[in-house]
Amino acid sequence: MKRDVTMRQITFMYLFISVSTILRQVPQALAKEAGSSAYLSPLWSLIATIPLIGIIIYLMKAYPGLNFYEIMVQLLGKFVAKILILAYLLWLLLATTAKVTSYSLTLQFTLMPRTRSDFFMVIMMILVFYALLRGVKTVFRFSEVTLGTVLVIFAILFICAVSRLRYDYLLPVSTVHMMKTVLAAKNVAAVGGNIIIALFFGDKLGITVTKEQFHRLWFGVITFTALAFVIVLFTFGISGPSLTASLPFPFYITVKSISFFNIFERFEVLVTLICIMSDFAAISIFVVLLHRCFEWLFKLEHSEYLCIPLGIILFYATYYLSSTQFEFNYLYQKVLVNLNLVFEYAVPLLLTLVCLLRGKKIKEQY
Amino acid sequence: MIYVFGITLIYVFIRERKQLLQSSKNLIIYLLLAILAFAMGVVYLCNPYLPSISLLLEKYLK
Repeated sequence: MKRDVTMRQITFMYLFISVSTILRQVPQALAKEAGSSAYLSPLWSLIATIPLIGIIIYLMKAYPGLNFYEIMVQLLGKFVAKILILAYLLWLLLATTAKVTSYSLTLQFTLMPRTRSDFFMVIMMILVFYALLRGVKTVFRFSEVTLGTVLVIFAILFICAVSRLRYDYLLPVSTVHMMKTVLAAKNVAAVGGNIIIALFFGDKLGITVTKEQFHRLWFGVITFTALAFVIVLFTFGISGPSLTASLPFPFYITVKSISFFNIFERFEVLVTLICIMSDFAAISIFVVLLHRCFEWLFKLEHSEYLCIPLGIILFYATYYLSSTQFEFNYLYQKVLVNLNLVFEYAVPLLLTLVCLLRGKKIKEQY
Repeated sequence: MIYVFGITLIYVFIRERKQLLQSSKNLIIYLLLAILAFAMGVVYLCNPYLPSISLLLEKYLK
């Protein structure tokens, strides 16, 4: 059966869009909250992400071939579903704006400190618009093709970095700090919850989703956790927790000290490139989700014409949201992480509870 | 920038006029978003140094 989007593509997209946040925000947030033992937090995040995968699989099995909105309508009714979709729309608008801001801040911090942020944003807008003109499948395929290369680059970087690890930055791990590492895991879980995009594309996956396809979601979340753990471990082990806590992009600084057998250096440019590609995929997919929310909310057949007004709103919203790196860090750690937890975990959990309590499952083909 | 965006909005309106004028719902949503986008642009143009939302949150949510 030919599907619009496959579970493999969704998993790859999930991993790819999570890469930039794992590289930029997660190490800093963990170091601030839990100090030197914080590299254990990605492992604790499995406590949240594994049940989330269970929830997603349960909802997809209970309502085969339905998307997130249709599941909400089945469980909570049209009115509540529309209110929730409006909330999701606003959250996605905020998340996309934050992504655009962090993308332009990354470029200013790493490669082009003198260039104005609006230049970066306009370039990204044109790229996203062009990619979406070709259809959402283009973005999915882009992440499918690129992720493998990105993982190989990371593998090479980590092999080169092993000799640079300082164990006094990582050890000893004290049980006194264990609770802090558990609480800090919310920063990783907030990124890991991106797997919720699977529910948004539930209708594109077809009526029958096989066990093997669901296994890809487990693969995705385990790869995500491993990647987050290794990145945080190497950032802490090379730069140290106190420097990690005070830098806006600690992994970038960490990679600066890595060389390939003293022959090749300057891998940090590759890290910036990976971040930009990941941001591009994330912004594209968030814009697609925004369009889907508009279509569900206002019962629109098409919404391509909303692309330009939405792009302009996102462009100016970046100025209203935060204007400096410090403001953005505050917004991310205090607002966005908590909002992500609500929309990625609390709402699907609520839907699952309603589904379990009412025993409501789809009996015939939708 | 706002002039470029304004011209783009008009261009999209002319290009997609069939779809937009097909139902009043499409037109209203497009106009609402366009007005909102334009208003945000005008406010930014008038005062680019407005305090950001995160600054206000930092100030009042302590």
